[in-house]
Amino acid sequence: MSLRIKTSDLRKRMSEAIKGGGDKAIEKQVSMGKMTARERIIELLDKKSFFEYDLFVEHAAKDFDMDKKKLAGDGVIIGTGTINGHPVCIYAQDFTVAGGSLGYMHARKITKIMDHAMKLKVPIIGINDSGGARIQEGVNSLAGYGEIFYRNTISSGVIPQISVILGPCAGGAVYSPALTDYVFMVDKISKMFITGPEVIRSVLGEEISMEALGGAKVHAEKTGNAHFYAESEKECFNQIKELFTYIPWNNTKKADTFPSKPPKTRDYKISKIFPADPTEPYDVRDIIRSISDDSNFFEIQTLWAANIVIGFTRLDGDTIGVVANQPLVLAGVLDVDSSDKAARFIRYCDAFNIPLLTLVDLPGYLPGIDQEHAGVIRHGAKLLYAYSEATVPKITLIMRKAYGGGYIAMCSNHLKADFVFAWPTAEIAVMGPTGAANIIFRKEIAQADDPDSFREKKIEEYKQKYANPYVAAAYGYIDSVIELNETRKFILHALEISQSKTVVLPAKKHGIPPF
Amino acid sequence: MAKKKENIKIKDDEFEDFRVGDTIYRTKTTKSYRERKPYQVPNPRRLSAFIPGTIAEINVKIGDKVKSGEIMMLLEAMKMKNQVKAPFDGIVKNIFVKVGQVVAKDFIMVELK
Repeated sequence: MSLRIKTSDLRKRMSEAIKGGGDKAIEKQVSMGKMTARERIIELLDKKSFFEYDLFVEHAAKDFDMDKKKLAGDGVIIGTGTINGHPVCIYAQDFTVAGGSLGYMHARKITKIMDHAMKLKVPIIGINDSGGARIQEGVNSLAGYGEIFYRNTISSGVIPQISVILGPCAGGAVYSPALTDYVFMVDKISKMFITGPEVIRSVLGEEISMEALGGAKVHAEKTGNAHFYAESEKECFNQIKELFTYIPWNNTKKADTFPSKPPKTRDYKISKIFPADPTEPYDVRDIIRSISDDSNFFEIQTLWAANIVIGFTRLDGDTIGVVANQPLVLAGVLDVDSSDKAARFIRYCDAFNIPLLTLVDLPGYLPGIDQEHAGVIRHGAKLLYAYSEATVPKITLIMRKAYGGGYIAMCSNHLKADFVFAWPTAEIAVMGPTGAANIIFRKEIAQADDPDSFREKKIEEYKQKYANPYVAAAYGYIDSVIELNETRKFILHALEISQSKTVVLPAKKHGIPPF
Repeated sequence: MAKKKENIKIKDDEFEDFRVGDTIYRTKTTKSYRERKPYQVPNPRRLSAFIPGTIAEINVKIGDKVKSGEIMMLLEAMKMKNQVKAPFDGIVKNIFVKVGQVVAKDFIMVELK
């Protein structure tokens, strides 16, 4: 045979394999408003950067007439390419091929590209669109999931792992995304659950739609399983590309440096955004924008536990992770969910050498029976653990309230923040003035001729004496009390001189965080 | 960008008074906060389903005397016939389920006195 014939034979084989589940299945995929697996990869990666492997892999299952079925690429596409010019490994499940079901070879392809990513120390992106385990392959499909979960865990904190849910992701399959760094979901397309609506109906008689049970909105707002919510696949891919501008390519590298830009102070002026009255709300994201490069802020988990804000921004061109209480929602209290949300993000930043900026303005932990019974002790402790353990540069700015346990938890001097700044509006105290005065002067108030006016007097006294940054500053717990418009300057300097910060923690296998 | 849309606009009518300790803050609340379940004092005389499932068997009727540890019902769930035992010596006051009935978690099945 001539070279020409061999080449045309290869081309024929390739064009057949590339068709996936065939025209009909592709048509169905498109009619659901979904892109095909290959289109998704091409859309996400830099133009013409995608190289595919294992196109000709076939399954070897024999039972249930599987030997008569040929599944193109065994229902998953793997390969490498670039995003913003940096290398990534990627896989995408192809729903048009046997519903993207995961069999032995399908899983082997995924674990192969995951192993590549770990060896090459580049991020791994997984696009999930699968009906679940391939039942015909029995325990081999379970083995496949287990192999993926193991690699997710071992790779955690070494290379970035991104999960994109663009279709169903049900049963055991959900645990791979749950083990990765970031989960992206798209409205009306993504669905995640352990047991689907049918099982719930047959066991419980409860009716619920897939969307209401595990749609993108539910996971973005209620469960916190999703980190990013988009209304279309295209918007989702843009979010991923933007995320990649903020994070390093593995845990030994630093994220890209961009040209430094001043904040848009005309739109975001601290003195206009920030009310000094500690009971008045404001959007803390505007404060972040008022000090960050080009007033940019890339928020993560915008909808879930909105009483704390997490995300990335740049200061002088370099990425910084921001954790901020949000006085706009639930007065910015810490609770079960917001502690979880912040603690995980802090550990992410620490694992990938991203400095942390903490903006503090909170009345404390949320009181209530439901919180106590939901384990606010255990969850709240995660925040203390994460901040204490983090060795990246830690800079804290106390804007207004920092009371009680909340003060300690929000990266205080005592959890080894490198620099703690406070605005003159800061109130650092064991509790709010009213509560403190009521306890300290309980006897005197009860014995006073006019208890109410006496109480007011004592509250006012306490406010004057203790509801300020100067008591803490006198002990050196605050490094500098700064004017509002000096904030960026102080933070930039702190970051600049922290660049070679080194902290050596005692050698151990790993700690026992309050998971 | 999506995050522009998610931005919470500051509008006065969306705010409510929110008490933390002795201070009232003006703030918004979240859906999960508003939908949180009020606490109920547990009543040891009322036995509720500890797992969602199907009533497979009922061994007692109203008025029966039961001894502590006696198996009153079988609640089939997760491929397992779970025993519903009497927590103390008593008399069956009320039975709220039938054999074959599907019960949700926390559904009250039987009341003792």
